[in-house]
Amino acid sequence: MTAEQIPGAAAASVPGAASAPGAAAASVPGAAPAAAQRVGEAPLLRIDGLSVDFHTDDGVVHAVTDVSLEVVAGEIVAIVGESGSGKTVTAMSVLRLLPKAAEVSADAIAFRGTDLRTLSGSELRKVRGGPVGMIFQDPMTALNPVMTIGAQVAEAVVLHQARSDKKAAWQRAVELLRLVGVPDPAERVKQYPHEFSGGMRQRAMIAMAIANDPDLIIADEPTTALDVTIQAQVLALLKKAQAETGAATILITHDLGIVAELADRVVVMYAGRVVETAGVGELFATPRHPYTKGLLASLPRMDVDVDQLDPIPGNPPNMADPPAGCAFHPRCPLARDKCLTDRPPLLAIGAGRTSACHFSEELA
Amino acid sequence: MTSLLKVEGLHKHFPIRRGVLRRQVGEIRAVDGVDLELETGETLSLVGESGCGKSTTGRLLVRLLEPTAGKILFEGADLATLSQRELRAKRQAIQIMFQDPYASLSPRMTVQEIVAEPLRVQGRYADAGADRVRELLELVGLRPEHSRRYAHEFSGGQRQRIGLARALALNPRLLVLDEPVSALDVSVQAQVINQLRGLQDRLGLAYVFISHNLSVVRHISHRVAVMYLGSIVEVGSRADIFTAPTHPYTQALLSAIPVPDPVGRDERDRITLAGDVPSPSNPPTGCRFRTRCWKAQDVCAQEAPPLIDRIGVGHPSACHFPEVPATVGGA
Repeated sequence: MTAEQIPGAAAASVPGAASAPGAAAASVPGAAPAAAQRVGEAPLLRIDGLSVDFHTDDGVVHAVTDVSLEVVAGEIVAIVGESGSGKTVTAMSVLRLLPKAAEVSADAIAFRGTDLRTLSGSELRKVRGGPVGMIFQDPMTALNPVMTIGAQVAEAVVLHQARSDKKAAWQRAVELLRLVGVPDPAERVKQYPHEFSGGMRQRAMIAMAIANDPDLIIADEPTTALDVTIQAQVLALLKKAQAETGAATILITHDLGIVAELADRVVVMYAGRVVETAGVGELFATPRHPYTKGLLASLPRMDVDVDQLDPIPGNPPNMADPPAGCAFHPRCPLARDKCLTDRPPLLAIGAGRTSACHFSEELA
Repeated sequence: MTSLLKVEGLHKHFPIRRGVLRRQVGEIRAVDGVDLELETGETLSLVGESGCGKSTTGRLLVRLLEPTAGKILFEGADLATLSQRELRAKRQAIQIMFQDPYASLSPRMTVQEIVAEPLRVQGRYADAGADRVRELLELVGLRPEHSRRYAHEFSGGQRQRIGLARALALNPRLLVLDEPVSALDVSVQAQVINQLRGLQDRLGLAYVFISHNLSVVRHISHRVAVMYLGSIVEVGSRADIFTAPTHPYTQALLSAIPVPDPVGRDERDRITLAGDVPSPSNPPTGCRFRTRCWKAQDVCAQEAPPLIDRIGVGHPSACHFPEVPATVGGA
């Protein structure tokens, strides 16, 4: 909806502000100058007005509500939020990887201009692992335990070839594993996932994700299951893979350290909605949503000494029964009467930034 | 003066059994010669990656596991040789809180029953136990009217508070905290950390804080022991470990932590370790870290470096070539 109103909407990184149609049209174009270099460039991925509901015994859970975001070629967009914030559900809905119980609605989920929702199952399978690569959190459950690593990587290659050449695919698997830093790849392709360590399995997953020279990589908590020294290896590899393939990346994480290390742009989610978007530098320097600000203050840091951490009070909301008005109001230091009843729309608050807070000005 | 806790030469080896006869074909040296000392009111953190033996050490301290060898002296008494009866009495003073707030609380007990259980086990419930439970719930920031509810009705952070109330029921002097905030969201994690610090000040508790999260460890610890493959590679005050680490593993561990500040991210010097942690069933000879160490020489394969202060920095490290780096992390 909104995107069409703004030519080259890549500028307003989040074309959405979709929750307040009237306000959005008025305010989002204001963000345009920020990314002037991107104007005219069609976004690689455009999600517009995405909502996902789950029907559970406790009632309908609105896991994601009215999320809009854009990813342009070559950039790393981090979606950050705590458990239950809807970050994974948002990303999984792109490739229709949600369970059947999920009820997805959206105005658009367009990849390179094609609405992915119009594709048949077999057409979508050509996209998955082809132009869009996926890296999942837990490489043990994401890999097939009864297939060798080589067979799985080769399969990812073969599935996207016009003419299947198994021998060449196997060679390519070896080459890919070498590329992602698996030592002695010619031997290790013959091994099974249980013979690989966690870090090595995640490398194999990355090899599969980049096997067909993707334009977009969706990485869902790619290092959460790994130890910190292995995480550093895998993050370095992701950075390298991204630089070499030039693929845009959606990085889903709860770790603000990883966001700060890798992301170009950040989308902060809370209770199923986008609450703030900004370039990574601005987000950390001057967060403009009290939730983002609270998250940064509650983080124990290696580089800053504080006597007391400053936690966000209370707990994340129960998504089957979220608070009225702004979902963050019960935990928010800025909350006033208005917040209890009126949900703040996601509005542009300056060059390339948006915030969904009635009082975001006070944080400027 | 006797320390609150003194651990000497602690070992825990798990047998590996194979075949129908369950013959022992090897052993995993989960904890392989650990010495520790802890004073009243102090927090000692055990840090390291998965498989380094930090949780096993924690379980040995409360004798949930029997040590293969070594002494655990609590207020001068050796826990490893106490009889069951004596141990039960001593154990009141040492409690443990677990990582997983979902698995560590019985789903069939109310909060009241969970927190009262240690009191009942020690035969102390009849004597004003209900009041004590109410007091404990308030102490950890839960409302007494929550006591009739079941664990599943609470969020992760609240469940960790229930676990904490249970651990505090018997007025312990030492709490072993095994990854107490790892399962929690960042915003809630900070609440629990602040609470742990507040309780330490009020009650004079000593903590053994087991964690892989060095940012949290840096915030909460007085002293830190870094473990790798079953032994301590470096131990010292918080400042020693975070500003003047001399063991290459400590240095690599610190530099691997993503810094939540995008400014200057491309200029940061990173030590990226090659390879994985070797299997504790077949550890390298000599220094166990040598297979991933950029400083390794021949001597490292032959001789295991003892945990000593070789270069006079005021804290020991188990490396043949310890060095204070130019800059590591923050103060």
